[in-house]
Amino acid sequence: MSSLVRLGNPSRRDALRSIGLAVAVAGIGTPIERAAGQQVHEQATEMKGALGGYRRQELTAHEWDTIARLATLILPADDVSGSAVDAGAVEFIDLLCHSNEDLAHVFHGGLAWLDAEMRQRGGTTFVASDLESQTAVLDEFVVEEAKQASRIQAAGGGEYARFRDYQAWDQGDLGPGVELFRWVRKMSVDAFYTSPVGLKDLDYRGGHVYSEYVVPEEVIDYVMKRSPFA
Amino acid sequence: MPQNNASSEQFDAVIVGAGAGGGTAVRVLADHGMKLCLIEAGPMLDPTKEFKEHKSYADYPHRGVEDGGKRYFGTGKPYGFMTTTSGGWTLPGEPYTVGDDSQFKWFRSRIVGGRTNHYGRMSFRFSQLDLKARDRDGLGDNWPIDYSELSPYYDKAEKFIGVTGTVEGIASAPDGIFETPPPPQVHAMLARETGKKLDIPFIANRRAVITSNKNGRAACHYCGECGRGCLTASAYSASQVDIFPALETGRVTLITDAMAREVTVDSSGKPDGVIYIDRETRREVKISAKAVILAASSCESARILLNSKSRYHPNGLGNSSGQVGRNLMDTVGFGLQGYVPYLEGMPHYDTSGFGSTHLYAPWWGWNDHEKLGFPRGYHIEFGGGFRLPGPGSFHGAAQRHGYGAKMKQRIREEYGAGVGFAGRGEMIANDMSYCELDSDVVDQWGIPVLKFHFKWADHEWKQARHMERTFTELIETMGGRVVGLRNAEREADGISVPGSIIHEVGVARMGERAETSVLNGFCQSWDAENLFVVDGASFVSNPDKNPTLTINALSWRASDYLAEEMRKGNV
Repeated sequence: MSSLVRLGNPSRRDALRSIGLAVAVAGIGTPIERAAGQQVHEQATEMKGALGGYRRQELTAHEWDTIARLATLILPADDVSGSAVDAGAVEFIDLLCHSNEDLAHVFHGGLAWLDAEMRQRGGTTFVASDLESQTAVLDEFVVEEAKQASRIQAAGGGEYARFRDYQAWDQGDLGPGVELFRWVRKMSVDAFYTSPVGLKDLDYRGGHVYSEYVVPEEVIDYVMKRSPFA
Repeated sequence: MPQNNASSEQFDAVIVGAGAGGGTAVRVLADHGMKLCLIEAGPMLDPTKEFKEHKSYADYPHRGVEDGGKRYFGTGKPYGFMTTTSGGWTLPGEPYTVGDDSQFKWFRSRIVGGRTNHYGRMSFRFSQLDLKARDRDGLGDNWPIDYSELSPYYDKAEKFIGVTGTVEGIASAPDGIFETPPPPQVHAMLARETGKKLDIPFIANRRAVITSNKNGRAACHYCGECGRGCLTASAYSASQVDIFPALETGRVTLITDAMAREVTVDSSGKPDGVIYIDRETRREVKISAKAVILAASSCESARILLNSKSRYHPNGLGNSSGQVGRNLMDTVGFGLQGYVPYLEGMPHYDTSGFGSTHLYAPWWGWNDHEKLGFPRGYHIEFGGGFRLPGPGSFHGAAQRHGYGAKMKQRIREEYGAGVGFAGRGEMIANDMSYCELDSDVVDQWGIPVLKFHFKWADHEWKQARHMERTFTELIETMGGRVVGLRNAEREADGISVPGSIIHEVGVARMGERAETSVLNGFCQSWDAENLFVVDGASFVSNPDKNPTLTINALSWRASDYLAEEMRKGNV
């Protein structure tokens, strides 16, 4: 049966009360912590606790290690923030591969191709290769990717042309490697910048609630002085 | 015909659809003391479960890419995982078709509150220039009502809903009764300064957000996440602001998961209720009422009318003019993204604000159309700032910079230095743009579906090219460079795909005469005095003003009129 509803939703009032109250107690323009039970965006806590319980589901241990190496090369730790691996990129890739056969295929096949390519070049797997050999092949992928992109551009297509003309994208001896590289990079970047590690890296300041919205004078000064309207 | 009466209750009115139009009608009519039945095709809304306000992407193992990586394969939720929409461009088991040579996208949201749970909240009044545009350029049709008739209802709607803004005295953008707007973010100030050089006025945005406490709703807390649904109802939604309070009057029966099929008529051909299909039991149920109010969303209301065929109304109910389904309009959309190098290094601050651009540019060229070469205008929305990164935010940057420490560094430096401009323009109704019943296809409820036909005319294409030139000029005058299209899709990436701006209106237009329109100026059917259509279907034209505020105002006006007519015994 259809549900017959005659009453308003009491939970609305509860939510309203908790945030309304929080806004009322704080001063004007003061950031206030989120209502209880809600995650605070800006808290740049390391994710290790949250990831501690994750169990590998789709990738083999060797594949896991290879992706971890690739993700670290793509987004390494520096003096500002941690790496893509610190941000949970490998767990993220394993989880999504486990729930999508097509995606799993990209990674299983691509990683096998990469090891075969590396063996041909230096006699060992990607993970076991030295840093120089690893970055050499990634550099080639970047060059090849740029070539492919300009081929598509020349054919009159943008980003969407890739889907209409998949063959054009897939040409070249390094094709399968470029494809794998693009997927690892795309997913590492997403895992990184959606995590507290990435938000810290970007110095993201959102994720507060305020009783009044204020734009800092120093920012206005900084920008206006450099603008054509100074 | 009905298989199963839900009850023998006779309602004063049955309202189909719980969005902006239906929500306003049910609240206003409940206040008039009427006994009402509100039927909604989707489920009840529970904001605490449905709204993802104040959630972080990291709260979800899939990081917003959705289970199975749907976003990567183009099958994720429209506008991203965090948006609160229950609907989308396709609904399982509820197809629509599109004619050869046409493109059309139809966004449907089946839930209490409908699209108002997550919409942009841009709230602009139509002006007298808009309502009588035909007088100036001979195109389209005039509305049967004047601004002076609509204005008191804009007042009521703004006072009740709460709309930010400042008094400006611009003829194309009539002032209203405004909440204090938040101050502009720095990128908005830049746009305003740029606009001064180019004679484009940037003024405080007019959005349905309260910045002071109102009727038990808390003032905006500037988290910037209006698009996810607002837990405090500081941003207007028909669910929280109209419907939940109306339910508390005890005069409203809400029936959810009820898919309206047709308006029924009595032995004299007069509407006497609505038949819906219960989505769970698949049984037909009839609701009897003295008046029928359609607010199912423009095209859905047209579909119900066309499907309400009887020997009295062989072409569908309210369709003696043949105008039901005609005059389908969307808004013209085009956008460009820019990059402003000197914004690199700007001190970081919270740019969220009230979730959208704090300034916008109303149309400024209403006296220049002859010179411009296109007849109707557009407004400019724009964005920038340090936005919350989500899945996909840096795919383009990553491709530009390769990988490694350098890529990470460049993404950090570029963050916050991008701007985007989007135009939202008026389309003029044309004969090539309409919807009709598809005689070959029914949905899973056995209801014949709509077939869409659509064509942008030269007017719209020329307007979009003017947008492109204007945005290029704005970005370059600001000291930036154009980096690409914003929300590029197809129609050769030069104009939005029809329907994709989600301002589809006009398929049961009002007018001066029964021969050429479906409704009179009170949204009342020419063919049946107890039948009203209070969503965007009544629109005669589709000015560059987002439609929701006008739907609120027209629905309120129609509801007052209906209550008065019933009191007098005329309905």
